Amino acid sequence: MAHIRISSLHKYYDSVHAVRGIDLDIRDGEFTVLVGPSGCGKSTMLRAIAGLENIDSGTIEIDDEVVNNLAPGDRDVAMVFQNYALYPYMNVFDNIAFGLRARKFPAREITARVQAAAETLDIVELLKRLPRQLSGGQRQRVAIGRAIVRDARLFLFDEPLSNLDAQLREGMRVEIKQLHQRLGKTMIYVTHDQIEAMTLADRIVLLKDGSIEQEGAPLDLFERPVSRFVAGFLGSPSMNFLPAKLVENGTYLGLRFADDVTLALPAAASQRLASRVGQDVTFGVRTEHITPARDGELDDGFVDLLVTIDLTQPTGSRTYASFKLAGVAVQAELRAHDVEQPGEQIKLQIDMNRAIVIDPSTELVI
Amino acid sequence: MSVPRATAAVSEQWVGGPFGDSRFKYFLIAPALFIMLSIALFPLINLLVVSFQGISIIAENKSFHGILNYQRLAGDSRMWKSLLHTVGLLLVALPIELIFGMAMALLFVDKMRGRQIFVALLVLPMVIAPIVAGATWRLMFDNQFGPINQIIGWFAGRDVTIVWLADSSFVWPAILATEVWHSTPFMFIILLAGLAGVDRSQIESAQIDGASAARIFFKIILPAIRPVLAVAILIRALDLFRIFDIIWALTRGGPGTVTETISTFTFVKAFEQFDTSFAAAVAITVVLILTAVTIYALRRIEIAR
Amino acid sequence: MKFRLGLGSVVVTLLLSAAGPPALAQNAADTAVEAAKKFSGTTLNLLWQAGLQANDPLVFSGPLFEELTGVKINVVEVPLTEMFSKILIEHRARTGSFDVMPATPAWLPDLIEAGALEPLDDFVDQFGYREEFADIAPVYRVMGEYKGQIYAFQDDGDVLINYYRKDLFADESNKSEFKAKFGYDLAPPTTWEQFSQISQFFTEKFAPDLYGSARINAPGLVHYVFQERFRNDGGKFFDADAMKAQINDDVGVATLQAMIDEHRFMPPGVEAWGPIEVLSAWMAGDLAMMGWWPPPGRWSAGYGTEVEALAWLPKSTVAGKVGYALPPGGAPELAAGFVLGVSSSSKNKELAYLFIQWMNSKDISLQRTMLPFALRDPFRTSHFRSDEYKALWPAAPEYLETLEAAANAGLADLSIRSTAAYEDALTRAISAAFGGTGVKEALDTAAGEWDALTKQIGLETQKSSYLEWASKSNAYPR
Ligand SMILES: Nc1ncnc2c1ncn2[C@@H]1O[C@H](COP(=O)(O)OP(=O)(O)OP(=O)(O)O)[C@@H](O)[C@H]1O
Ligand SMILES: [Mg+2]
Repeated sequence: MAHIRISSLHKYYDSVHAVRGIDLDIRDGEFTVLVGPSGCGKSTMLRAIAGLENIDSGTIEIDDEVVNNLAPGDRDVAMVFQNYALYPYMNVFDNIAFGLRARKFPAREITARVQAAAETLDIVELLKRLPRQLSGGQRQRVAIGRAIVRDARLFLFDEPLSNLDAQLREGMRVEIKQLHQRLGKTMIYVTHDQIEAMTLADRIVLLKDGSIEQEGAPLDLFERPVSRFVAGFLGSPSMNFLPAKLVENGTYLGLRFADDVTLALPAAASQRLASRVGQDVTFGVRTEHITPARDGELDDGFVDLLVTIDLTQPTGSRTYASFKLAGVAVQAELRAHDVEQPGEQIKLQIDMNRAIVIDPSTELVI
Repeated sequence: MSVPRATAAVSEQWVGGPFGDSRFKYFLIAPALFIMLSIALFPLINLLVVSFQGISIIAENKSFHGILNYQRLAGDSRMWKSLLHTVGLLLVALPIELIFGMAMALLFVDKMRGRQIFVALLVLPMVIAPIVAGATWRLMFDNQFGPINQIIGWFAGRDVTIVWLADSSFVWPAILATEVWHSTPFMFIILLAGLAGVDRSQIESAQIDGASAARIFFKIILPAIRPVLAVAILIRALDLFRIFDIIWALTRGGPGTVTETISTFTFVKAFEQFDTSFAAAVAITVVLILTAVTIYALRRIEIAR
Repeated sequence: MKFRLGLGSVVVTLLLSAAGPPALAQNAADTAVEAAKKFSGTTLNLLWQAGLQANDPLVFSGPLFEELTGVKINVVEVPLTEMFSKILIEHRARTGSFDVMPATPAWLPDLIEAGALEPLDDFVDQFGYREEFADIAPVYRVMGEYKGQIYAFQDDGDVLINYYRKDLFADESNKSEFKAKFGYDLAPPTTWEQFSQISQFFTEKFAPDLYGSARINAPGLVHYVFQERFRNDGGKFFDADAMKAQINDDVGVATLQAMIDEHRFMPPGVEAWGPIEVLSAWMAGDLAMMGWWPPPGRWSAGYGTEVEALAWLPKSTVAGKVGYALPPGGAPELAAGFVLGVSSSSKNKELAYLFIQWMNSKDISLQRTMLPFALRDPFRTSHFRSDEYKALWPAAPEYLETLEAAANAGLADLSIRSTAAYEDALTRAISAAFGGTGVKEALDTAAGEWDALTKQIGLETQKSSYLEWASKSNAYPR
């Protein structure tokens, strides 16, 4: 059990400024996911916490103790590597027991603990095998087994699932979440997969270029992104973005697009943006908020739009359909049979309550 | 569906090497194999034949002499001593070179400023021909003008006139120093390559597991570089067994026969004393010993299988 | 290359002008030239020792012979240490790749028995060389003879003489102090005990500025010193009946022990000194005595040392101060010393012979021994008495006198079958003893090896070879 406090952490690799002044508090028992595009500094952060990477300035505290100068082995953390880092010349038992032996546990306790960890992960029958005799998923379990057997106060995962196929990944995701619930340990998990981040995290820390772009509960970030970057990063398919102009539109404000189509903004947004009338903005809306219009009256804050579908992408349960709005391709989320053929016309509704407006000069949500 | 089929065809082809099961490959390599074998074996066979003849400075007697030369060899204490010197040098020099090479490789495997220049400098002795290395160190050990006596003199605070290469108690250390200087870089560079191939995350994982540096070295690094290490040791052991140039340049086997190795002995016999058939018998014996040791070693390190 | 050509042409012109109009009574050189003219246009291949020695045929004799006869001389340079191997290997393969070859007397029994050398008696008669051949000093003349036939002409007067510093030996304070200490007059030593005491005297008085003496201890050469001292003190290499090696007898042990004991009075590290170290110390004025071959006699006086080929030589600081003496015991080692022979696989034996007769003749050999850089030393009675030579530097007459005395008393190197193997065993014993092995033990080992070698070669074969050598007057002190 551990809480972590990171303050103004900086890390350079020669001329590359990999981590740029990060402040972060992680509460005891929290499952924190570091997410962000490739090269944003996730691994570097994690490795800094583990002690594998020297830091150039700032402090890292675990349980109120500054660990900057503590060797990795003295930080009482466990880590699962992306490539599992199993010791190829030792069998599974010895792999899992390695840390215990290094810490001079008595033989009897080692056996008991390895056995327990193996049972937890359902790999008891693999204990005698060498890593190369295991499948990817089994190796993953061994790697996790090696981490949990020591009962460390902090668990670190660096993209542990990225080498698995989609199906296995889903299964392991569930298991890791269960493991967290069962052990109640503080865990920091690095991924660049936003679905993993959303599903696993108590809290997501979204990094960009070595700085925190936004942090908070997954749905917080999803629903209230602070920037175009966050909005675009989370959610699949990605959010639609369109250039528009903020205009007066009767009582409230509206967004006018290049082809003079204007979409009305709801009351709350209009109030918030009143001072910016006339400015160029970016309009953002997720696919799931563009749906076929229902018959009858539109709900509050919804607008409707008649469009011609250019392209359909059925996924089975739903179909993603593209159309052009002011010359920009936009995706909508339809039910399976709403459109059968590209070229069909359909009336869509947009939930403007969930849409966001971005200042293109700062890329921040306004 | 043409693309998957093509892929399948390719993968089938590669099953038995580029030519699959086809006899064609034997046909292709046969001439090369034949030439290689004859080049490799012809001198050996010739050597074997000569070793059963009576060619010496006295006569070019090509008649069959049975195992006469081998009997002589078995009773030749100078030859056994030279073999002993060879093995002794090997047993002392090899571990030193290994340890130094390993220490240097461990030092330089991590990125650091100026690493490339350092590595290049450290590898320099390797590019020098052994005979030149020997000649250079001969000057270094010169009792009058050599820097070694001077340096020792500075520390001792008085003139030091150790006659390194003519004094039986100093001559082996001198040879050892030269040999270690010349060959450690080879170990270094091979082990450096080996270490560079060790999965860093395994080491990091062990660090996080709280393993000591020694435990990481012996349990993680050493097993990982074992094949490289074994090949390096084998190559160096064979080299050391054949050591000639350095000794020849430094001492020619002297004083007396104190530093004679099997190669200098064979050379003296063959080319200075024209004891041709006897020298051939010695050479054959050495070939037999080395072949046996090499086969055993290759089995052990599971390369030849 | 520039130097070689330049100097060569100078010498050639000098010589041609000196020759003047052809003499009426033809000498051996002219006879050879006349007879060789019919081979004009052919090329003669010479095996020669690489280094300074090769300047002789390359710069002087080769071009001159070509000028006189139109025969081209091609010199194949081979390092001394590889010459014997090269000769024997080429002979066994019958390559015929060279016509003329130099050898040391110690190689001759092997080369002659192997049939590598052509007997020369018929040629000697045919080309009228008997008379000039007889002018070669007797000890040298017999070197190339084997079982009653001539196989080679001695072509170099190599002998180890004792050089000493006249200035130091004449110094009054040195003289009186020495006499006070040892009870006899300071003079070039005639016994090894005296040699040791004189060394001690100078070393104790002057070291580290000057040492009493130094010795050529390099492997491959140090055995010459042993051979000389062992025989001067009455040692015999073998007992002539059973052919048992006797180098480990009391004389041998005493000889080697004395050699080691003398190191105390020599420069530190002398155990590893070769000829160059000794010579350098001598030229720098750091030694009161040294044993060496003849060339330092010329170089010490500064004769010829300005030529580029000798640029490596330290400048002499002892010119005019050098005295020459026979070494203690009075019978100096005729160490190495080249002979000239004709290869039996030569395709042009007559021409090869003519060339060596010409090289070896009174006239030409005198010129060659006076070349400063070619390391050929006087070996003929006429050389020793040559007015031309005596005029080269002030002390040259004394020098030639000493060389003549040395030649007359000189001891040939042991020259039997497979001599190199015996020399090698002896050398190893000496260097082992220098390196710390007990003297008796080292010599016992060597004697054991000698006996084994003899057995292996064949007792009778070796015995006849030894007796052939020992029957010559220069084998043991007379
Ligand atoms: N050892 C290193 N030497 C130099 N630069 C490095 C090193 N490791 C990382 N970097 C750089 O630091 C930055 C952050 O790297 P980091 O590995 O933390 O990214 P990441 O977010 O984990 O990316 P990914 O998702 O691809 O693993 C990148 O620009 C990277 O190129
Ligand atoms: Mg990473």
